[in-house]
Amino acid sequence: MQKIGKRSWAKAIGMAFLAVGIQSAAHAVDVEDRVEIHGYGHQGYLQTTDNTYLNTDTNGTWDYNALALLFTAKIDDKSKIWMQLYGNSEKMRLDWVFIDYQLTGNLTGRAGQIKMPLGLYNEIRDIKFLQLSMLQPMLYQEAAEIAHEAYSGVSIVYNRDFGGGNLSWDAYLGQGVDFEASATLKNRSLVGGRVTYKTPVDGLRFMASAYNNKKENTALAEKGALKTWVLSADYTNNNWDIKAEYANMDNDLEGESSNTYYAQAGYTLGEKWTPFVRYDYLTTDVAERTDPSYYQKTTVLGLNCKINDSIAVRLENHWNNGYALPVASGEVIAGAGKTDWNMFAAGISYIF
Amino acid sequence: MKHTTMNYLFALFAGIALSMPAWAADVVVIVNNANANAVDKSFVVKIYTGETKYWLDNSGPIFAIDQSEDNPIRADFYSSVLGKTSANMKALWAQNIFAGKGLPPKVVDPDAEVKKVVSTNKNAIGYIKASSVDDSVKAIKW
Repeated sequence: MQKIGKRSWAKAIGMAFLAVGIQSAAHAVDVEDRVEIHGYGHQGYLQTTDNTYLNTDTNGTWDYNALALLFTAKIDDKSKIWMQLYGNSEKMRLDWVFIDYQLTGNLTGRAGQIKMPLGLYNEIRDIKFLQLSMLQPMLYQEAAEIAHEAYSGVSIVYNRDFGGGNLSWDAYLGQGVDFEASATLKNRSLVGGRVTYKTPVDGLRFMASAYNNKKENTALAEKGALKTWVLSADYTNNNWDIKAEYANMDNDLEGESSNTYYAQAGYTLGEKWTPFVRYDYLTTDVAERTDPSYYQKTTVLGLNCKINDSIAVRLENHWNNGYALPVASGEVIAGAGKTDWNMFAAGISYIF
Repeated sequence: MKHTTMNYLFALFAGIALSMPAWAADVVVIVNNANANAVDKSFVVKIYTGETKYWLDNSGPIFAIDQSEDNPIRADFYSSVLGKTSANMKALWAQNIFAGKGLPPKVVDPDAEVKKVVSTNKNAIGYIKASSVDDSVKAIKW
């Protein structure tokens, strides 16, 4: 029998009521044709057989929840303002806020605090409803520190038809934004881009993304850069959802390299049930990749059920070998964790 | 002789099919009468999936109109013209919205309201039942 604190239950029930309340509306709010409000959220339950990760252990936790509200305001036919607030039972933050301007039919400019275009998931990594799994691939988990969430600066997005498909470029320049600010590591400048090719085959696309994030360790007066690149492919049609990505990051400041890859496949039965499987590998320090404190191999088996077009529930189990993420998140000391451990996740997610 | 008759019949059916407006399951795509753009099916798909925001002749931003979720014509349009399910479209637009890439088409219905908006906005595009088409709008053929 699990011991779950009264506070956790209260939060879980509160989030569940919030979810139900929002779903009773079940539609985006459109104010005077100029302002729209959309949102998403989730409430999950996590439990491990060993090790502590994402604030859960063998006792389990309901503290895996979030709610986000997105506001858009149309200024004129060519420009809009976007703002997203994101919060969970512990914190609330301004996720992003920017203005975009349609320069030509193919070219859009943006300025502000913007989600970083990286790989398949980064801009939507917190939106569980749009993913098969409650826990995103390790590439996108905060503890891995490979995928930066946002930056402040400017960007351009260009797209055009090419070779029977569509080619688009995102290019950006600015400064990385850390939602969990470090006392000693400061972001200096960041430059990056992503190329996406949607092939003539419906649902098949390829991406290449990279960024160079210059940082400074103010305590040691050292400067360096995090150089990251990601290769991605996915295929989604009415039934299949197949994704694979490979990422590498060289961290000059720490003198370390990390890399990760995963492959995931799901098949939807009867427009509702999607069983899925994922194999995920991460090493947070390539030089130590045989030490279970610095690598993690995870096999995920899960079931996603779409209740309707706005609500989904899922159950999944993660069989882990190695505990790089619990070490990277500071929840387990290197050398002190259990090499083989499982994590169970269940939850409800919604969008409106 | 039989083959010749069959060829004529085939050619007749093909001719009728090709000359029909852009409808399937009684759905017709419509634009403003003043809109001179050559709109083919793939362009309509790009509009309704958010890939294209401007008319080909750069005459202005496209004002796309969807019908409400409760209206069966919406599912017909998604499946017969876009080749998607309602769930696919919902997920696709959620990705566009939450990545800050674009907002979904405005919802207007019934058909009479769609015709009214399309007939008065030269950048508008929408879809209605074949039986609702009249001279106030241009039915797209492909």
